[in-house]
Amino acid sequence: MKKLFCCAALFFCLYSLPLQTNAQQTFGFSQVVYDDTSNTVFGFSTTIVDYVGAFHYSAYVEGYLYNQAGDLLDSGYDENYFFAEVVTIAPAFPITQYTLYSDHYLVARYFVTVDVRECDPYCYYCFDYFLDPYCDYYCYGCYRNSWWDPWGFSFLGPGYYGPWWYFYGYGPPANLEVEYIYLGTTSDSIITPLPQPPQCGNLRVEVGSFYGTDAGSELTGQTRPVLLGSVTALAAQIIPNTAGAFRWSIAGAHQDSPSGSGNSANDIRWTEEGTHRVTVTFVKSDGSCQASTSFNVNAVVPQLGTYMVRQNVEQTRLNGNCSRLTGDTFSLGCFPSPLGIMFDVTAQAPANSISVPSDSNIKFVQLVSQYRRRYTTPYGLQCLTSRTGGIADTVTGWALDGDALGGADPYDSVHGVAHFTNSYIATIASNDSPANPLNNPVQYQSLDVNDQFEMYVVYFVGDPSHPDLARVIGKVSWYWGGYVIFVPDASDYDLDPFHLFNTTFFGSPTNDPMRPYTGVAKVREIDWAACPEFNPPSCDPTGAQAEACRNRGWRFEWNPDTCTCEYIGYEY
Amino acid sequence: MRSGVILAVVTLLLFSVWARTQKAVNGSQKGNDQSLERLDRVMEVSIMPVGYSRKDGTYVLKQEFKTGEPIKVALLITNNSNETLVIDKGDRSFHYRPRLSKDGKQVHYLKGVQKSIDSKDKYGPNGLSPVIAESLEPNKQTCVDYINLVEWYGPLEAGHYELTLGHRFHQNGPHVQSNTTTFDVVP
Repeated sequence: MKKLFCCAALFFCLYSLPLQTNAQQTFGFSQVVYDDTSNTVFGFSTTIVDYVGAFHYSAYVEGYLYNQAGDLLDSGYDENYFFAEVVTIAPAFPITQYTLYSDHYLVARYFVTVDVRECDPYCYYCFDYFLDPYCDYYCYGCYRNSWWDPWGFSFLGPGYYGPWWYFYGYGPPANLEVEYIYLGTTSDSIITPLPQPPQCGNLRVEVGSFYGTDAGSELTGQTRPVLLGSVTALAAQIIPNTAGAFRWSIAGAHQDSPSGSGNSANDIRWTEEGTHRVTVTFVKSDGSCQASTSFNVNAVVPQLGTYMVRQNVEQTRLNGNCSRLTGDTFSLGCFPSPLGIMFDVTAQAPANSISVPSDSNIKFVQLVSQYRRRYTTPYGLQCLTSRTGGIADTVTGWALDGDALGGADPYDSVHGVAHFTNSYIATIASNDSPANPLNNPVQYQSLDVNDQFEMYVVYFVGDPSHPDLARVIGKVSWYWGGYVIFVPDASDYDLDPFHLFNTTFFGSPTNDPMRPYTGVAKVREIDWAACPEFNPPSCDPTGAQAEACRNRGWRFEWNPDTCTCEYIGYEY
Repeated sequence: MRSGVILAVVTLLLFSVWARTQKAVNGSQKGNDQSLERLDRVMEVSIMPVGYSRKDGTYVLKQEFKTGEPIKVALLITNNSNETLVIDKGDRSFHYRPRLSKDGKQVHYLKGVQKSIDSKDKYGPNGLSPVIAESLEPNKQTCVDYINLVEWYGPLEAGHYELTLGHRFHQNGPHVQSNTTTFDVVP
């Protein structure tokens, strides 16, 4: 019945649509429905003429309802100004195909008197002796009454269609000898279901979950959250205990695997967010009756709870060995103490969820856009970056953070991955202490570091490296760097850091996917290369002048823009 | 003459300050080296092949893999000292040296991996890879990482494999050798 209301609404929309578009169109529709209460098949055949068309045409439809043997079970017709509909009816037999054919027509409403200009050989209509060389006697004139087809529907080639079709009046105006204009035929078909056994008056089905704070309790009629993609382990029972089997009807995109005695248990994974209905039907082993129950699940993605970040300051240390590097170092914090940056995250799902908590996980995934520029006497100015636009370009050069073997996902495969607890809370923590050597393998004269990071919190199910489903739920952007210059006279370094104080800040929830990353993280000593923003100037294409300038010592710096060796010693 | 004496005293003072500073720096360096060398002595490295189990929600021991399946090795480190020690991880081509043999014959690293390893052997770590602190509690075995063999060797063909891992805790340190573990890859 609900379907019929929908159809009625659709018809109304279609009827009113031409008011705006002024199109010359007609809509034909066929629908067969099965009514299980009366065990009857109904066929609805409909032709609708739009508002403008209804001035010139009436709607007409013929409906023919057949069974699978080709027997005509019922037929009928209807004609009306805008909306013609005929209902055909037949008693329903189980597992039988019923097909409805609807022939759609327009009926021309007006006829006009036409001046016949042509003549037939027998002068039957026309007696125009002077105009018609075939007529052998005097002709006074000729008129004929014709049906008026102003939108040229008669030029439409009729055809067979599915359950509905739009028929458009493409042709020029026409005068017709018949008033019924055949447009085409639509059809619809159904197969009636197996007969349902009656409800068992004395039996009751209960369904419950193996997990959740109230595991095992009856779920009938409730709506309970489940975590997207994770297993929801359900069990059904029949009270009182009776021989038979369970059938599971599960809405929403999902995977399931019924098991247990009579399929009494089922592990279901929903892969589509939203509310979905679960119906469990028990059929007695003799098929004499059935009982069912149902409840709803709301498949959700867990939310970010807290995301705290504690970041230390940048520092240079003589023989600092920070981050386990050799010799002088420039680093964020100074691993092993203090650490450069620490991430602490909690995520939570609704406490009344019923999915298996340990099947849902969160992890860190870090992206980096690295930029390091150094000046050394043997090699001159070099960069280690995947950016195409240089130091200020924070759009390109993004890569999955990792090492020379490639990006690491998850970022930290042990502490950066956790599954949800029985109270549907997950906690992960990790850290990073980026650094750069300052005198290994060569003495740096200067170093520019501008590393940008995005640390994502990702909800996932399955293998952390190859998850079945993954969604970003949180993100924080952070950076470290500064400008370091070696002061030989003092055998020390001057530092202009990005951060002067330790800071604490917070990541934020997000549903946006991770930034696309195409760059490759360059992490090896042998990856140092020419800087993207410093192409050799035409005045010094070989770099010989720049080399000579470098050889003059740290007080001199080559300026590629002016091609001069500038004295910069006074600045320090 | 007087100014000469003053100059000599000042020079002597400056030299003593410089010498003390150098001693402190060298002492700190030496202290660092000693604490790092201690890691080599007290850490015990072991490995086992694992596969992810959805049922258990974690990686579990697995000794037979199908071709094309991810083959991971859990890295377990036991801190045999009486205090919590911190190691760093994140730079796999510096820390790890797996040695894999198939049916008794050594399997070579991927070409790019060998190049990275050579770079790390020559220059050491450089702070460009993640530097992740891992605290190891005393007298306890801790799972530190899951090593993906495909990243080192590419997809493995069917056969019987033996694997040993060398773990380097710091630059110029030895590769502390793990146990030898075996697994099979089947079509």
